[in-house]
Amino acid sequence: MEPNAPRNDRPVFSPLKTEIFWILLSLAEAPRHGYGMLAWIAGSSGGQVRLGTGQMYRHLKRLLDDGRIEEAPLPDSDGNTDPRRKYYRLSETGRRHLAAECGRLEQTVRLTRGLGLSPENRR
Amino acid sequence: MSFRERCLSLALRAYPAEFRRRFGDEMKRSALASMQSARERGVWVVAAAFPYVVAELVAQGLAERLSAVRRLPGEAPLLLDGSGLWRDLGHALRRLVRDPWASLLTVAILAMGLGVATSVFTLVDNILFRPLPYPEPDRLVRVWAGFPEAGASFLDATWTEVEALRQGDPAFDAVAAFSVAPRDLVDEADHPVQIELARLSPGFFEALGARPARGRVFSSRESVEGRPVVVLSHRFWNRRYGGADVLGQTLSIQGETHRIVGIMPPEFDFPHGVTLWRPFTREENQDDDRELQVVARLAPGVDEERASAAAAAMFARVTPVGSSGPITAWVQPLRSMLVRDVDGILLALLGGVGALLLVAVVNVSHLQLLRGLSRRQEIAVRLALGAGRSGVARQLAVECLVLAAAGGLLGLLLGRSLLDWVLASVPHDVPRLAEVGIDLRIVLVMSALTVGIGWLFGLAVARRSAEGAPIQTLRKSRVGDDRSGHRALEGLVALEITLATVLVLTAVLLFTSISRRLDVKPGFEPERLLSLGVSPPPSREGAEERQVFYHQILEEVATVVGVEDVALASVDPVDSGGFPIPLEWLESPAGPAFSARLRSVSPSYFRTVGARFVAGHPFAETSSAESPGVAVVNQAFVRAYLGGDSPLGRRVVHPPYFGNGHPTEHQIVGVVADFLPEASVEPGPWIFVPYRQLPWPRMRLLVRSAGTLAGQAAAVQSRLWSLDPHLAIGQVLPVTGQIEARLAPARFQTHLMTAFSQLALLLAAVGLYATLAVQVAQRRRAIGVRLALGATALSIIWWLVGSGLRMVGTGLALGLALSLLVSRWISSQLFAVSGLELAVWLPTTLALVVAAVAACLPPAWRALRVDPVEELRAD
Repeated sequence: MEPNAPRNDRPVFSPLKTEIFWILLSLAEAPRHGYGMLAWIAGSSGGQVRLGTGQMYRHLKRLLDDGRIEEAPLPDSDGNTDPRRKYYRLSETGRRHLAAECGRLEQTVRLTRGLGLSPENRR
Repeated sequence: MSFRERCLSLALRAYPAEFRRRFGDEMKRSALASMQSARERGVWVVAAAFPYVVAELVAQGLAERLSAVRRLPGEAPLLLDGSGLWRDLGHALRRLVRDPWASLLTVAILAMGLGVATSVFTLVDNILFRPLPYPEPDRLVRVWAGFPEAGASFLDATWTEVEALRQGDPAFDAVAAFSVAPRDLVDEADHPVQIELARLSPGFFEALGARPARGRVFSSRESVEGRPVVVLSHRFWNRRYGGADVLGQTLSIQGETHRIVGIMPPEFDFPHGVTLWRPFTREENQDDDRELQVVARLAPGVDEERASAAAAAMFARVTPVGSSGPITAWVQPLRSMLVRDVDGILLALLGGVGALLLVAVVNVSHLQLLRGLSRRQEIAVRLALGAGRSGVARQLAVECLVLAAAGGLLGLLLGRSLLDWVLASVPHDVPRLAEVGIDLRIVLVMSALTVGIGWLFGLAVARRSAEGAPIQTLRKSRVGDDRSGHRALEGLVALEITLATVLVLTAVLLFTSISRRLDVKPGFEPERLLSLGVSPPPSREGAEERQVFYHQILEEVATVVGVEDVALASVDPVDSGGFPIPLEWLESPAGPAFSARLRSVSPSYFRTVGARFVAGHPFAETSSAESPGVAVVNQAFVRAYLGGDSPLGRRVVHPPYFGNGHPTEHQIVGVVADFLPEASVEPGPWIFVPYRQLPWPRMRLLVRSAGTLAGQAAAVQSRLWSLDPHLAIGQVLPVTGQIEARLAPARFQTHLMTAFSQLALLLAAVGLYATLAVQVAQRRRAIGVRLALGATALSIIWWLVGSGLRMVGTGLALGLALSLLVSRWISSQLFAVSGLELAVWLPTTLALVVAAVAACLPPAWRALRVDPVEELRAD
């Protein structure tokens, strides 16, 4: 097997690393470029997840190599689009992984709610 | 390109090229954009954000490189490849375990070399090179006096001189005096014992900068007034009181009660061997005998020369020119004075252990090289199958490093226990032993050495084994005459033989020297002779009582069963020291003054010690204070002051000592042969006078036993105590033991050197043997062909052993040449052995040749048992 071949046989239900999860999440809505992803993550997580540029691109490379994300054509609807930038979007696999992770998280949240551990109950 | 962009480009260099190509531009833009957004939040945020962004980029880049290396198959750079290193380690361990004897041998040789080196290096480093345990030790000096015209040097000083020095010269920051003497210590429970006591002038501890471990040193008032207070040595405190709290307790010295005020730390051992320190008393301050040893701290920036000149000027000002001529003075660094007797020996040992370590290292690299050679085929196959050259080399290097690390660790452990052993067997009068211990520095040096050695031979092996085209190696092995790489091996063997030769010859020279020292007749008969210090109890301190007391002792001890003869002497026969008494010829009072070491002895002395008279006769038994003064001199005296003329009947005069009423003129009545207790020391002029005519305060009792000495000492002691239970008796020593003790440092050196040389010889023989054995193994096929073609056994042996003999010849020749240089270097430590003595060199060389041939024979024997049919059939 070529080392760079997509690994589609990766088990879907393994928990994702926080950074990976947020990177995939940032692409769920629309294709974005690198800095766009960084900015979206910082904003949407309320500053809780902060990725450095280097860290971000290292994950990006792995995800591209794994085939969980792929390069997207430039979105022409956006007037501000910089033609030099590369845009990325989720692949089918990536979407599947993200969905699986979301399902796992939901399940976890349900479980914790059932145990009376949610923040509202603590008040 | 802006400064920031340039920085970012630089930071991106941390990433692998392929990564940079793929994402570099984007990352730069992205980083700039994130800083842009920071700018909106204020200039300070940008200032903080930029270094953070750059640092994060670099850190991630390095991490990316590392993980890239980890993930990609194939060759990877050694430094960044963590997992590769582990893999190599595992592989190396498996390989080494598969060949356990060779690995164990290597580790053992390294451990031996490093262990011996660690212990000797620690010893030498601690004694010779480590500064004294005082602040700014380089400024500490001893001050000596001398009368050059009378030929007297290394004399002590008088109070007047010490006071002048202390007050007079800015070259000295502090000056203090001390004097060591045996004193009687009274124990409540037991008989008194003699101990070494140092009496101190004010400011002694302060001049050295020494602090007590417990309690305090003397206050200036105690020092000046000479109060009865003492400071204990750490050793004495442990031995006598078991380390209990004794501050404030009292002990009785010479019948006088002293209070313990302090305990010195264990490393404080000055003057060497002292048990107790106390201030000089008022009375002791008043006499002006030349008995004060002076220690001083030079002012900063003052050198020895200037200090010597200053001391000489000071001494000359207060000491009038007397019969001995004008006085002079000089200073000597305290450290060189403390170790002056042992530095030559220790440096020679250091050289020896260095050579041994070198042999061990050469031997180990040599064994590794042999391993590498015998694995050439395996390596060639691996290379031919596509293994990377650097990978193979790296793996070999890792094997060597593993061996070196194991050897180094074992060596350090071995060194620790060897050091304990060395410290136990080292002669006890070697100074500064209390300070010796392995410290971090030595551990570091040894670790560096180990790693260095590992790399050195590892690289050599790797280079050798992985070079050359594999196809050629494989082809050569089929022919069965693979001789590449052997030249280096032969060089290494020759080097080992060279070093071993030097060590063996040095050891033989030292050994010859010490056995000749032992053969020298000491000029008296030390066998069955006991020596013990006795001093009259305080109740008998007066001159008259002392005389009576000594007379009583002589009479009493003579009646002890088994005692053949008994005598008194102010100095032991083995002691070449003694008080240098200034003398003049009575016939020519204006003639030059001279001095001789005084021995105040009982008339029975010459008979008891077995002195040999070359002229004249001993004193009469009746010679007393009232009878005319008589004296006996030694041959050295006659040589020095009479040019060989007969001294009999001539008369010398000396200043009065110990009160008047004793003769100051002595007629020489006899000449005894020189005593040579220390064969290597030229005996000085001695003069013996009857103890009743010049009564010395402290005497040594010499007892000649009729039978063995066992039990004799106890019998004499109990007789003495029955005479007076308050009599203090010093150490009881067999005189032969005293002679042994003087030889101990040289003996110690000889033993160690002999051990080193034997180890080196063994290693060289192992190297020679292993090389030939591998050569034979690699040439089996060629041997088979030759045998099949009708070669004789002798020609085969000659063909094989010839290369061995070439190594031996080269090594021996170089070794002998080097030994010539070394023998000149150690000639000052040799006694009665010329560095070039044929009687030493010839047998040693022969023995080395025999050892070398013996190492060559087994491989040659194996070569003869090669079966040509078998070897040829293998094709």
